[in-house]
Amino acid sequence: MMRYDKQNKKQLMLQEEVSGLQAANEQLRAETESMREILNSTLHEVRRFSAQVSKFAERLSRETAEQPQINQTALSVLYTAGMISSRLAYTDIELNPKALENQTPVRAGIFKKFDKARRILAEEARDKKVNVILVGESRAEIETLPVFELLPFVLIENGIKYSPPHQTVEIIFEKNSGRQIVTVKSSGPSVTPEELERLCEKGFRATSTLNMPGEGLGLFLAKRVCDYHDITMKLKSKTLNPYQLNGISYSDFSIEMQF
Amino acid sequence: MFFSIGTPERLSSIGHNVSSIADAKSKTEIAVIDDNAFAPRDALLAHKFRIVELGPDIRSVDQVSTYPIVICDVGGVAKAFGSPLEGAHLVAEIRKTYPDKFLMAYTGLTYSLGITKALTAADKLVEKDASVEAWVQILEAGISEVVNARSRWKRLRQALLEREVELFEVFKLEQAFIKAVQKNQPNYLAEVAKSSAVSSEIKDLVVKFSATAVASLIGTALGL
Repeated sequence: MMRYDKQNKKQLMLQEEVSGLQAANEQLRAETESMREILNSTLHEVRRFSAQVSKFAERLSRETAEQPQINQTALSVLYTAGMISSRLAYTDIELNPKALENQTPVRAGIFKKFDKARRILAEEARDKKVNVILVGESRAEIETLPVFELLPFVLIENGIKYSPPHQTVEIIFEKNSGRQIVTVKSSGPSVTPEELERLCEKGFRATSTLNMPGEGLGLFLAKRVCDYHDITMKLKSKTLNPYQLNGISYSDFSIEMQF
Repeated sequence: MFFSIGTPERLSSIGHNVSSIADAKSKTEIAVIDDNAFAPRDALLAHKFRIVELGPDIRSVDQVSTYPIVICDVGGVAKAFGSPLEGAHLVAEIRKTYPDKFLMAYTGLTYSLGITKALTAADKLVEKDASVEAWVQILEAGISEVVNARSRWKRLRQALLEREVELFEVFKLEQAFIKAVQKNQPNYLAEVAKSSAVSSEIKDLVVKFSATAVASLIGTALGL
């Protein structure tokens, strides 16, 4: 009799525990569903607004062909809306890696894409007194996914962000054995060979950049975009002849991409 | 055992690649089904596409019968069909009735496996905010496909084979299509279909193709 009481008590306790877990599970399910709905409506609306911004910017750029300054601003707005789309395309892949299979590739000129990113970042470069120049030319085209826009943008933005003032970020276009090579060359905080190896890891930052703004996402994204397009990306940092500025050691830094 | 008299015409004898995409664009009307104003409209008009916005209230797939290319939003359209899949359901229904059309679907939720699965009937799925370059390239590829009599027939032929129509019947219909195009006889395919040994559903499919596509394909083949 005693033993049955003890067992019944234990069974009751377990049943209560199971009920508690079931309720918690239900709550988690409801929260996930609610988050999914929020995410879906946000993605849907942001894409709709982004398409609207593109529409107005595109119209403005067409109607101001004779006014270069306004035209340039309109194009910058158009290209920036394109960056929102590109970033959302990356979000799609983060949410569902299979989304990559559904993204439609579009044929695009490599030079044009880098030039576009340079234009979007022109004001940022001006504010930082950094010069961004394209060296050489290229008519090479590749099949690009919507996420491709992130690559030139992130690399040029990084170049501007980490360069000391009055320096130049060079985007060099060369051909090697029939393959297009693009190198983004700039001055940047010195990194050790060990750190160089890890710069494309998510969230990783070199010691010399810890007091600078950033989250360690740029090169991670750039590397992923390269992988999606079969582009080889190599990072180089010259350890010879570094120079000091405001207590930070700077040296030549370059990212070479082989298309 | 059967006897065949005469030499079959080759499908490769019709449907040459587009020589002028500008010309093909001017002859191809593109239907858009959306509950909002179609954002890339102005940019596409500037690129000389012929865009016709039909709004969201499609009540029958026959409303798109004359358009060889249909662009369809996924959310908020075709409510009359009563499916929770809305635009995705409409795309699937258009595909069933008009397998030769080039169908494009667009959505803000391109990450969703559920939506992409529901949209397997579409030729292309794009993001709601896809770039103008993407729209232009996809639509130009679509136009090249739909103005080419051979490509267009192959789409219908695939649908006939998927519906398990006997190969010999498909062959006879293909010969009728080639003759219709070569001899400028828009009704010939429909006439052959009506008397062929296929189900009424298949007859309807071919007759609809004949009524909506063949005349324009003959026009393109003859350079009209």
